[in-house]
Amino acid sequence: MHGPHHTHHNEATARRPKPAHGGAFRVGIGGPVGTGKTALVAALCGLLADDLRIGVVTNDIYTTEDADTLRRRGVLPAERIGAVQTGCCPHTAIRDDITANLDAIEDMEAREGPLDLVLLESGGDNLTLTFSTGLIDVQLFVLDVAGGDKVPRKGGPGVTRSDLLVINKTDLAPLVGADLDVMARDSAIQRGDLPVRFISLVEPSGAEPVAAWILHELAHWRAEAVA
Amino acid sequence: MHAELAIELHRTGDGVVVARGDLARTPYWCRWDGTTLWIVGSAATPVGEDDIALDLAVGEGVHAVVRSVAATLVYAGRGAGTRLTTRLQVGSGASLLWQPEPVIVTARARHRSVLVADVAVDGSLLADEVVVLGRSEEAAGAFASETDLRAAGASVCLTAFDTTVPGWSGPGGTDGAKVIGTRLALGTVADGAGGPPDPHTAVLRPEGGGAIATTLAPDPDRARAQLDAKLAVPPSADRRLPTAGSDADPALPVLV
Amino acid sequence: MAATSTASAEAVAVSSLLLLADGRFPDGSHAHSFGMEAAVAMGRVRDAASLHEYLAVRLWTTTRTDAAAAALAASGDHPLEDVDAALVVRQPSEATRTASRALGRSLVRTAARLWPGREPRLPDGRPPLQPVAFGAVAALAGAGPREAALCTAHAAAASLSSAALRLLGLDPFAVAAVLADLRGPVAEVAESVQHLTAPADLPAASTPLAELDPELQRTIEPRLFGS
Repeated sequence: MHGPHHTHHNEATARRPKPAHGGAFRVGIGGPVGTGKTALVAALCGLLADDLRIGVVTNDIYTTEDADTLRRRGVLPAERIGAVQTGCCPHTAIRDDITANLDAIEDMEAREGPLDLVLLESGGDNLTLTFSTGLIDVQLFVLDVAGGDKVPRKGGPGVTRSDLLVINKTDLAPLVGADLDVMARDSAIQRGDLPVRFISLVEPSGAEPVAAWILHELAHWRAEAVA
Repeated sequence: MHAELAIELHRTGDGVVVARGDLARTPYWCRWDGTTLWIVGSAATPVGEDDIALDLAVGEGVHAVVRSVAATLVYAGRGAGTRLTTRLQVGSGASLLWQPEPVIVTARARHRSVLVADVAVDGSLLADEVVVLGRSEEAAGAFASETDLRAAGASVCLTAFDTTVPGWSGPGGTDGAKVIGTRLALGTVADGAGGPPDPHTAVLRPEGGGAIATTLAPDPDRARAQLDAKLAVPPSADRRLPTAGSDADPALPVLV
Repeated sequence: MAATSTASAEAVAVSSLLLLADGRFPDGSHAHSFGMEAAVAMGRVRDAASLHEYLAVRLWTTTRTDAAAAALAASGDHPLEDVDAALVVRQPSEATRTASRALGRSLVRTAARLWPGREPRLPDGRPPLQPVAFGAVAALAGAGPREAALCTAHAAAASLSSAALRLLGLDPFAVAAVLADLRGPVAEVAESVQHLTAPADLPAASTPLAELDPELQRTIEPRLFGS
């Protein structure tokens, strides 16, 4: 579903003022464990890295094994992937006390030069997770079909107020008995006109709808600053 | 009893190093054999209210080792307790390897130890302090230790510990360890923190330079071995020592 | 920030103290364990009783040094770089200093938002070590050396116990009881540094494990806390 630029029916998320010095467009990526956030990040990097200077900050438990995997996959150079330890408080680190994440982004930009896009992945949590607008410019929330088709109905700020709701692993719907129409309808009830994208990452190009949305939001954000 | 020894190791015009000053002052006396200064007689002290000071200046171009003949047993303190102050000065182009035997703090000791070591810009120092907290089957008495490591007069590291602090032998202090080993290194080529990970030992790196290895162990031999594994004595510091640490990668010397 | 108030200077000082001491104040400290992660990993802290012992010895050693530095910084009697330099010499652990400067940086960022142009900095532009930055911020908030030392002592106990609680799933009421039990020592530690007048007077007491734990924490894989 591609539509014109959305309007917010829900309370408008006060956008982070575009910093005078520039700085990267920051996209928060939240959602429960196992819904495919990391795979989505990898796929987005694959699609966008040729056109944009991208940095990734992950709040997920990050081991040297993870770092090695990313390096081998060549998603991004290792220097553009940062890990933040949240002290077992994944909510706090992206919402109440965003210090560690701000430091990580600032340090990466100081080291790597100006970036166009920073993808900030939360530490995998539940439906109540939401990003601070002091930290990110837009946030997307990832659910997956295998989590059950009733999840959108439960609501929560991630489902109702995220700038983009992504429902992943559509290829599994028949296997888990999930009704995509039910999910689409429930999401619309929860979100009004706010956008939803149904994707499958079996092919990396499956992230294309999300990549397109990010590019659209990025262009809008840059235009706002000039105005 | 109050005693002060002041010794200077001085390189004469014909290249011989002599020891000048007070080498003998009850209860200590020291013997210089040309490369090593031996501290003798330490077994008789400190006790009661003994206040001992030892000043050692290693003159320009001198390479010296200091050892003691026996461990220092700190006996029962009286009144203000016992005190041992050591001031080391390492001059330009000089080096000092300071490795006295351990200090054993007996149960009724009340002891204070101060070590001030000042190393010239192109001097080098490697100094060990091994403290045994009580003889076997005995807890240590009261022991306060202060260390001031200086580079050309400016403090680089100032630390202290005090066994009378609440919780000292608990999970945030020593976790019941019998021996604390500390190795100070400044201006010397010492191997960095290599070897297998050791949860009882860490190498601290002061902002102003130098390195301090600190370790907890059940006995002095283990303490020394753990220190050697993390901050080895470079062979050049003592030609008479077996080349401990020489199995470490020679491509990894680090000036600390 | 609004400066005028009809409340007494004392009331404002207490109010400022409460703001700074509030665990929700975004100072970045929730992501740090101050060595506790290592103590837990090594099995030395495993319940409320061992937590109590750990806190007690830290309060009288490293925390007391930090509280003294915070008090001196809050007094305004000394250039911040002098207090910082004296504290640096008493913190040979690189792990401790790195975490402390990161937290100092966070306080500088907060101060820059609340009191633009007056945030504490060292002449070389580096952020001060956390206790020094904190003392300066306390002064900006209308608090003094007493409050700065008390906050520092309280925060140390609170942060260490919070980390233990999360790592071990300790009963929060048991932890609250430990913290309540330590009110006397917290106050005594803060009081004990009020008479100091010069950076050279800063205490230097530590313990072997207070130095080892932050260094050990860096070797834990995967790390859950920043330090």
